[in-house]
Amino acid sequence: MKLTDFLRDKEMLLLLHLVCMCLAAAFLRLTGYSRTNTILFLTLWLLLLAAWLLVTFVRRRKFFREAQRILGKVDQRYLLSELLPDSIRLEDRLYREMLHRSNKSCIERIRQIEEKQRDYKEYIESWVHEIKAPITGIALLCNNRRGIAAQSTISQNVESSGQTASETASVSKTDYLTISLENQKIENYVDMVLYYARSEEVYKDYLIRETSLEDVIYEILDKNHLLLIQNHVQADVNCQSTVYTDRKWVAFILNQILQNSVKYRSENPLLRIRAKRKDNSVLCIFEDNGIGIREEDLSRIFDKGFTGSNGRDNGRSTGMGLYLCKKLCDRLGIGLFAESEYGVGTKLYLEFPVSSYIKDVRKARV
Amino acid sequence: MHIFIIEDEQLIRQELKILLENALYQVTAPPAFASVTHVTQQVLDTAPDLVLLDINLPDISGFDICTQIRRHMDVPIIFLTSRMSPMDELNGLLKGGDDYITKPYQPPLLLARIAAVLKRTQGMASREITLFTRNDVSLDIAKCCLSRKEQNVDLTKNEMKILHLLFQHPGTFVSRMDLIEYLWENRIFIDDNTLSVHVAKLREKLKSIGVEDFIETKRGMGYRI
Repeated sequence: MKLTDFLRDKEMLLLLHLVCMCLAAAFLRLTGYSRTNTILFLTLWLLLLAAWLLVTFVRRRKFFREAQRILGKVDQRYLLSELLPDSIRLEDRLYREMLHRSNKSCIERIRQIEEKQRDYKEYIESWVHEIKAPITGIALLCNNRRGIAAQSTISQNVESSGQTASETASVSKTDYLTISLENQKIENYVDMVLYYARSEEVYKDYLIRETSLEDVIYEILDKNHLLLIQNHVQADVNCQSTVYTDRKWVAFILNQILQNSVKYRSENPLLRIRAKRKDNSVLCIFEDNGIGIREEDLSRIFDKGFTGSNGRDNGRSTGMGLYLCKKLCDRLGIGLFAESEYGVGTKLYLEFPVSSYIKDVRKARV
Repeated sequence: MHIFIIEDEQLIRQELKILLENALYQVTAPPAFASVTHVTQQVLDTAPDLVLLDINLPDISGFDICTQIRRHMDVPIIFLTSRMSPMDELNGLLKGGDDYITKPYQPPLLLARIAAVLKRTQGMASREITLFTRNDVSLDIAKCCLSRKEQNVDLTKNEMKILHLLFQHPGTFVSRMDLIEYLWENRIFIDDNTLSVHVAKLREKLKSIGVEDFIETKRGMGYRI
């Protein structure tokens, strides 16, 4: 609050005083007071006015400075009305009362939205659990029928009876395979929904323990084996490191990366997954020989909704996969970087920190 | 081996039953679950070797059933569930479950984990055959070699796995897809073309011990020995 601003604010009051002073001076002169007396009277008036203005200014400035300071310190600024310094001024009290009421409704609204969001999130989570039952049902059914179809193909062939019968059987086998694959896509999308819903609160849902990277890799390769075989993918796994992390989340992250590698594959796709021990971390390198990422896109692949030129050509990208990976990695303290040469392949690095504390404890135990 | 399934989803129950029966287990899967005591009684009456237990059942919780069963008998229990929070997993293991598998599960993985639990609890030795013979040619899994009369030839891991599956199904065609799937299950992640290369190498090795046309190929059908 500057003095000039303050004075401008009091413009009307000053004007009033000026008019009164003029009138008073005129009145005094007319009623026969001497000139010196009138000037003395006016000077006294001016001094009193100046003193009063100064005191008011200082007190107001102090009040607002205090309010500013409080505002700067609290993180929930909408609670200001509760924290304002006491004031005897009527205006302050009235404003404060109004602020208070307005904030109360604002807080209520925030609570309402928070509650709505929580309800929605809970519903999404329970929905994901519900939808997993039919997905499991379809997966099991396809797996069983595929086995039966295969057997009937073989037996019919051995008996070399009815060419058409064996043909229909083999057709249905590929149909079941297709359904299985599509079902797995559904499963993957459903997982993305679940992890997105939970990504804000990873800390509520993780269990850090010693995890074998190799086991996680084998798990996701097993899970996607139909998709990978279908796309003639070969994999070379060499990751005999253990890391301290949450297995489920890492499996989800690696699964997204794997999906991308399959989606953006080129001729003779080959995945190479290796682990490297570094001083304070374990580096997991996920390399493919796919179409790669253009240099201008590389810095933005972890942005939400970014699809890049690959995504546009492909037409099936949502720009969510890697965004979620990055978000989850950040929450879990895993570093995630990409390196790519367009037309040659992509390398994704996951850097798992190894706490020196754990190492020390282990050493001590040994 | 007798497995008892407690699962309320009709489709999953039915398909799980087929899957396990195909894997040569005896299966009991009751369609209705009136109460915890009722289900527990059923399990006690059947005296299975293993129980597959869903956690979310209508009106009752799988955890309660587990606790009840544990009071009476020591049968291994595997939880199958779509819940997946660490708390649930911990709860399951604390209540006396032997394993915890989340839906949707991969059938081969499920079978492997059932077998693992059975092996652990029953001390059941795996009845795997390590020596196969067909038309004079024998495959020794333990030594990883192929022999005919006195002649031997060593095999690589990949070649052995390919032959292993073929020897398990003598006289029938094994499709290339089934072969590749089998290899992937055994952590050999190769594609179609590489399989052809391996089979060609195998034929050469067979030839070196004096066997020709041992592996028969039929277009669109696969391989047969």
